[in-house]
This record gives sequence, C-alpha cells and structure tokens, in this order.
Amino acid sequence: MKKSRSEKDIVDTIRKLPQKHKLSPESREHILTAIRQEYEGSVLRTGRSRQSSRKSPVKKWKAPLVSGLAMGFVVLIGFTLWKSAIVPPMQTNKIAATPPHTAKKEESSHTLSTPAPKTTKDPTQTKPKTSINPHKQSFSLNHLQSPISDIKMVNDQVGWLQAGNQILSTQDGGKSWQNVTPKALGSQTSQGSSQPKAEFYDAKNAWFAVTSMSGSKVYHTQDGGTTWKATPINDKGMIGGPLTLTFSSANEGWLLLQGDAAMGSMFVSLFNTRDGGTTWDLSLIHI
Amino acid sequence: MNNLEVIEDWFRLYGDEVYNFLIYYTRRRDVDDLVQEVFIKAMRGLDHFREESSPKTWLFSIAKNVAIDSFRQKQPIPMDSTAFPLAVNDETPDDLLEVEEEKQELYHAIQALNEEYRLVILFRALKEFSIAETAEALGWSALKVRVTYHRALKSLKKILGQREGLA
Repeated sequence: MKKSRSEKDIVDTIRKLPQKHKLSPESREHILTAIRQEYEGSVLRTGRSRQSSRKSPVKKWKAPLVSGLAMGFVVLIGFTLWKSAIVPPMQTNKIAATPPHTAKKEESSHTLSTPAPKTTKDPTQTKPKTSINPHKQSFSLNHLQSPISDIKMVNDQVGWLQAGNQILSTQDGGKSWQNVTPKALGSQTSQGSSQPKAEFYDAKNAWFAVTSMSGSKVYHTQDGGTTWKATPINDKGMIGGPLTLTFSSANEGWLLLQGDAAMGSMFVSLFNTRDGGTTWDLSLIHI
Repeated sequence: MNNLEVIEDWFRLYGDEVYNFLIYYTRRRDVDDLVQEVFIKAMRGLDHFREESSPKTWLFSIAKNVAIDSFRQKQPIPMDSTAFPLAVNDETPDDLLEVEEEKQELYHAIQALNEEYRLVILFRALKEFSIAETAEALGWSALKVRVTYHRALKSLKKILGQREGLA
C-alpha cells in the first residue's frame, strides 16, 4: 500500500474493487422458480390474484393524511383536556400571569438547577427509594417539549407521564409533577421514525425505550425515576425506533423495534427480557 | 404488471448487484440462497412497498437484513479470501500486481471494520449510494450516515497505515 493515502484515494480504490460476480444461470433459474412458486402460493392463500396494488397518488396520500390529521386532533384534544383536569387553577393562573421571557428564564434555570437522576451501573445495588426524592423539583406541564403521549396512574396519587423524550412522575394525584427523565438522554432526540416508548409498570418500575444516534437503548428505573440503568439493544443498526414496549411482570418484557424507517413497519425485530431489562434477546425478525 | 412480473423485473435488473453486495457483506461466495430470500421477501412485502423509495434501495435494505439474520442463525463466518478472487498469475505485470495487492489489502481492511463502518463503506463507497439512499437503505438519519462514513474512512486509513507499518 502506498504511503499516506488520502481518504479520496481510498474511496477511489474501493470503487475499483471487483463487483462483477454473477449468479450462475442455474442459480438464476432456481431463484426465479422459487419466486414464481412463492407468487403462486400467495395467490392460492389469498384466493385472489395479487395484482399490483400500486395506489394512485390521491389514494397514496389520502390515508396517511387523514390518519395523521385525526391523530393530531386527538392528541390536541387529549392535551387540552388533560391540562384542564390536572393543572390546578392556581398554577394555571400563575403561569398565565408570568411574562413569556420570565417563563423561559424559569425553565432554563430549572434545567440547570434540577439535580439529574443518578445513573448507577447496577440498579440491584441501589436501594429503592419509596419516598419522593426531596431534590426533585416541580415541573410545569407548560414546559413540556412535546405533547403528552402516554400516562398511567398507578393509584390515586402516584402516576407517570410521557411527553416525547421526557418522563414525569407525580406523587400527589397530578397536583405537581417531577421531571424524572434519564439524565443520559440529555437533549438528544429520537432518530428513529417512531417516538420513544415507555412502560410504566408500578410506582417504582418503569422502562423507557429510546432510539438515538448510538442505537437503541432501554432505560429501567426501580426507584420511581430517581436512577435509571441503560441497556443497549443489539439491533445491528436497525434503528427505525421502538414500536411497542410492554411488560407482563416486573421481569418479563417485550420490545418491538422497527427495522428500517424507510420501510414503514415492514421490518420489525422482537426482543424479549426475562430479567427486568438487564438483558434483551432477539426473539424474531419479521419482514 | 402483477407482483410476479415486478419482482422478476427487479431480479433481472438488480439480482447481480444484490449478489455482489452480499458477497462483500457476508464475506462468503455461497450467497445464492440469501439472494433468493431477498427477492422472496420483496415479493411478500411488495404490497407495502412505499413508492417514494427506489426499488434498488429497498432491495438492498432487505439484503442487509437478510444477511444480518443469517449472521444470527449461523456461527461466526471466518473471512473467506475466495470471496475476492484476483486474476493474478506469473505473467501479471509488476505494476498490475501492485494494484491488485493494493485492492486486496483494502478489501481485508474493510472487512476488519466494525459492522456499522463496514456497512456505510459498502453502501457509500463501493455501491456509490448517495447519502439519502444510504440513509434509506440502512434506516439511519442522513446525519448518522455522514458522521459514520467520515469515521469509517478515518478508521480505514488508520488500519491501512498500521498494516503498512507492520510490512
């Protein structure tokens, strides 16, 4: 190899690497036969000819547009109802009376002064805290960066809320909220086509699946959001984002990851944990 | 065109390209079964294929996933030097021999890269996909493609430099 090759030289050489391998005529015929058999099988299964279902431009955009508008409307209504039901009148008045620039200042000072949740390497060594973290500060729902996408009340006092990349918890029936978002998330946004997914199991246990530049991770708290442990998912770069995260017990959970954002929901991989999210095993890939 | 005609058409157009990509990505020559799987899966998913993405990008995306699936099902595959046959013999002129050795060294350096770097090099440099096409095929953001490609090239340069130092 010549010395001090530039990156451009390297790319040029890569482009000259041989790519002239060809399928043998036998292999080609074999594959075509398999394709035809698959087609005939599918026709038999569906009982109808699978004529190309290419949609007209109008049809192609109509369904996603209508469903998108409907979803946006539902989220808007849900957020409005939620605000009116949960935010106490006094707090609402206070927020309304606060000039925008002051509100912004409060928000940034909150970000700086709020102690970030501690991340420990092994949550089993962390004593679960049953009381409200005294360091946690109240968080106004007006400061949410995204619309509320999920909420679960564990009992009449304790509950969780997800808004995009943020996780909040309440210990007083929604009168006040604390930002318990995993510190490691910072301000990064989801890179996948789908938003992070949260599973709020009980007052202490919650999981949060996030796909970012560095891949997919599932965060787990065992102490109501004070500390989170992140477990990377071996998704081999299939970073479409999490579709579903669900737990049937504190140990048994399932995570459905979207393989390729460009493919819509065609590529999905299902991961399973039997130890509360410490390890995740690939269960299946479906295309 | 019905679905069969569409897939047959795509197989004729892109079959060998997918075949070459799979050879580089899996480091094996016997990837005929994987090529078949790619087009079978394309047949099954054709009704959900989004027409804003190109068939080629879509097929390569499937190929990447089929290959990853095969990695999971099988034991780690040792690097197959026969995947990179070079027409070198005693009569090969010295300058050509040097070029071929250079290519062979580069091929092995690519295979020494980590999974993401290898993928982005294969798509961006070898297959000459654009950033948008690579992002689509890999399901990454354009930013991730840019950053990973940049790092992959740096890593490749480093590996080649180290090998040169050993020589």
